[in-house]
Amino acid sequence: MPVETPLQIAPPPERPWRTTWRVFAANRPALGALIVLIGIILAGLFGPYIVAPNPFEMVNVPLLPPSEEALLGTDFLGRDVFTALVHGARTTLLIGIAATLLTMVIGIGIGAFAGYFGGFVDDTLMRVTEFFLVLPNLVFAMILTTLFSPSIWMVVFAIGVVNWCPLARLTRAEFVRIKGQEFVLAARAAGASDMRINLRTILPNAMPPLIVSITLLIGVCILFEAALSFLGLTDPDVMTWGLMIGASRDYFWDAAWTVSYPGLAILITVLCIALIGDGLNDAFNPKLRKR
Amino acid sequence: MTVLSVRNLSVEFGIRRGLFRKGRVVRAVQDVSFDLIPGTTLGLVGESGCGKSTTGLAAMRLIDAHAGKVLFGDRDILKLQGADLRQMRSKIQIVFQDPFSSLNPRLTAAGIIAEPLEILGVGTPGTRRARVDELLMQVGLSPEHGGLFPHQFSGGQRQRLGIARALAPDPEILICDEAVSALDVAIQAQVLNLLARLQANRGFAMLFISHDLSVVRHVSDEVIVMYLGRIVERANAKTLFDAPLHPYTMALMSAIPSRDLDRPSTRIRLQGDVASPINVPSGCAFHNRCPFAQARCSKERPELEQIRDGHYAACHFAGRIERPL
Amino acid sequence: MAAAESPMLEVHGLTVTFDLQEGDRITVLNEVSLTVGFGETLGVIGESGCGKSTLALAIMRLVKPPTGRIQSGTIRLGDEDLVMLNEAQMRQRRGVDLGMIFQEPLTSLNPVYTVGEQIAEVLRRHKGLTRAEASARALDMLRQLKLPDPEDKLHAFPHELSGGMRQRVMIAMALICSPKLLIADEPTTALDVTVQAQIFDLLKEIRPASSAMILITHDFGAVAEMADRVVVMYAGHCIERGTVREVVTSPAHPYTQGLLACVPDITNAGTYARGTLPEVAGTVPSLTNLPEGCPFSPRCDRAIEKCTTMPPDVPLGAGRSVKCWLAEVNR
Repeated sequence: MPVETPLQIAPPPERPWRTTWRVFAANRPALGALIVLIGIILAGLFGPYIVAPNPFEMVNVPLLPPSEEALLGTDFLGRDVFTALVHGARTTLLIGIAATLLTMVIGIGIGAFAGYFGGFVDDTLMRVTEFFLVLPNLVFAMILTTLFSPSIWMVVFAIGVVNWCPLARLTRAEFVRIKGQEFVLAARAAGASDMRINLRTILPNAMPPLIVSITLLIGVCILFEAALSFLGLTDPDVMTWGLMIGASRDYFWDAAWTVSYPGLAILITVLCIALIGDGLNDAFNPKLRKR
Repeated sequence: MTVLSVRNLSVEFGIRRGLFRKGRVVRAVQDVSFDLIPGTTLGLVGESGCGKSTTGLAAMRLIDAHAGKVLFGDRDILKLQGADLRQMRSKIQIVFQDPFSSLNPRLTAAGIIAEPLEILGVGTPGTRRARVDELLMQVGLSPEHGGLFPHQFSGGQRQRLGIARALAPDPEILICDEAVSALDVAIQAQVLNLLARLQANRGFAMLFISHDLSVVRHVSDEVIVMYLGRIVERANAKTLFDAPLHPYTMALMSAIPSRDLDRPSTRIRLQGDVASPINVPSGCAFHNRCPFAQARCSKERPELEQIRDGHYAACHFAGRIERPL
Repeated sequence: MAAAESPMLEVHGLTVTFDLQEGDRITVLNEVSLTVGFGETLGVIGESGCGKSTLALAIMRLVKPPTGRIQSGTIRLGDEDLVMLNEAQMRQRRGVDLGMIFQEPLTSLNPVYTVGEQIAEVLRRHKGLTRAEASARALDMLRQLKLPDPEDKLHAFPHELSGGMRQRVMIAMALICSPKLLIADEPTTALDVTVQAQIFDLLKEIRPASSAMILITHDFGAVAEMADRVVVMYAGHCIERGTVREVVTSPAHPYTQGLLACVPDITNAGTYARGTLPEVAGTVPSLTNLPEGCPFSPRCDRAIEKCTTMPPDVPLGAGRSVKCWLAEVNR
């Protein structure tokens, strides 16, 4: 009986997450964006405790340019731009994340069902997806917030409900691809239920491209919120960057700082998210990177 | 002594056209019957499109069968539901062909092997871990390998993991679906020996599906040859390969390139390509490629009949063909 | 060497390296030498990772710098050294003097062009024929290959054909300009055994008598059927060479012996009791982690002290040699 020689296994290469991190960190723009974004998140988390508590308070002379008294100036109602910006960081990010979560639940849920079950279920769900895809989503969101009270939750709902389509399609594609792999059949052979297979076998394997999509989605949701706020269709009691721009839009020529700073904030945040998403994409697929 | 009895199994696929379920129907498996006996191996051999893999998957209900019965004990597997079905799953397991896609890349080796036990609710995490270690050693790996991921193993090692996973719930029947076809020959020999050892120790019945006749001959006690969804010949391994009765089996055997340089090359040359199950010829499905076909063969489909003791063939002229050596 | 005439192809001391992403450099072919005479078929046999496919690509000069590099050696086809030619010159040789057939015909044929167009393109490019002339020659070739309904097949797309037919198309494309050397890299591995037999018969019939062929495979049966001489490869080295009869009936290298013993041959498959198939223990070493000296030594049950240094190519007769210290010691 031949003796089993000790099997040669190469020294364990680094764990998958470390490779991903290493590739990501080597991407300078992405790394820089991550640092900036962390800064913004920290500002949003802790800032409102440091600056004045109420951004709606009229603290100073209206339309004061940036100076010693008001770091970034004041708007037409005398509200401090810097305070508003800091509070806005928290709310804008929260709305973006909340809306993204809603989108994820709808999009991944529908995509997973369609991809896994196929057939009639797939056809139906995909027609529904295409229907929503064809709808002009900004208009639809506007209608929702106009019809129902424009509370902040309505805004989150409206954004979530119109943006899930691309994610659904991506999820479906991933599920269809992974479903055909033999390890899924192996799980079925072990008696796994459909639910278990979807959640514990297929979904973890589908995550890498989904993570990239979801990251980018946060940026999209933030922009969406800005658009709705700009049109005045959001909750007037919640200070967001979009609200700042919308409220001060008549003052762009005379008091640019009231509009530019929130605008810049949105730009930088969304840009950082895009760079991070891009970096994640490359990090998850090192084979696709051109050397 | 039979542990599994397959009777008249048929599997059909519909080719979907648009919104409707069935366009044309592909009869992948038709009227297949066989028995599995503990401690022995049944070889299932045939070329692509013959339905051998489909048969294996249908017999363990990973694909839905269209007709037929699969009796495990006295219960028909094809009719089981719920908890009974899950119970059955622990008794029949499968090893797949592709060592790369048959293991979940996100689980560790230990996780992969323990998964069937987890799903079937067997034991506690502690006892499961112990069993995983035991299985790893039985397949020639070691407990340290449990923490590694599939991509860190070679093809042969991954196949061993697949075998360990299949044996985790201690099944009575093991189906090997081209389990060694993707391996290099030296590794193939190791895995074949491993399977033989494990079978000798645990006494499970094995259904060995392969297109490689040499391997099937080595591994099997009894062999079935399939062509376009039907069984065309069945016999014990030695008899089948020493004296095949069906022209297709003869052609298969003569097609294998032999290392015996002194063997005269009297090949039965088949015309045309392996037929597709979408367009099954009339009468005997093999008649359009058969060098011995007569008029009768295109009209009347031959039944699988016993020609000699324990040797069955589906051919009108079985036993009466002058076979070139 | 009995023959006075020079061989069709002579590879000498060929070394090819690849640079990996992590910065390592691996030697995929290590001082490989072989010859193929006119009208001869040379079998190159080995398991995965031994370098046989890279050998084919290297001869075709398809190993691309900067990651892949021919470090040293010569590849003489006729009286030209292919290593010395530039890309433009090689393009003229490929398809005309050198033909290649790949393993998986579905991925090596262009899915968006018909089969007829692809065959004709080879002629138009290399022989400057007109569309009509090239089409006619392609049709001719398809008839020779015994494809049913060749006129229809001319206008068929690759995915409409079966695996065996696609492989025949590949053979057509490779042979249509009557190359001096045909390299077939595992041409039948993806095919069913009855189709495999047809392809082998075809290759024997259709090749011009003077052209040479290199058949790369892992199957000794195929080598016994098709080849005149054979070379055995392991971890980038040619560890044994000789005529097919010599190597198959009396293999000299322990690896070759193990390889021959561990495959159940259809004629003797019943002779081994289950579980006692002779094994070659262990696994092929990773090229990033080769052992000292003879790459096979960790798995060899007859390894001796000396095996920690690389054995030389020990000649055992005309055209027969083996890279093993045991042969050297027993001389």
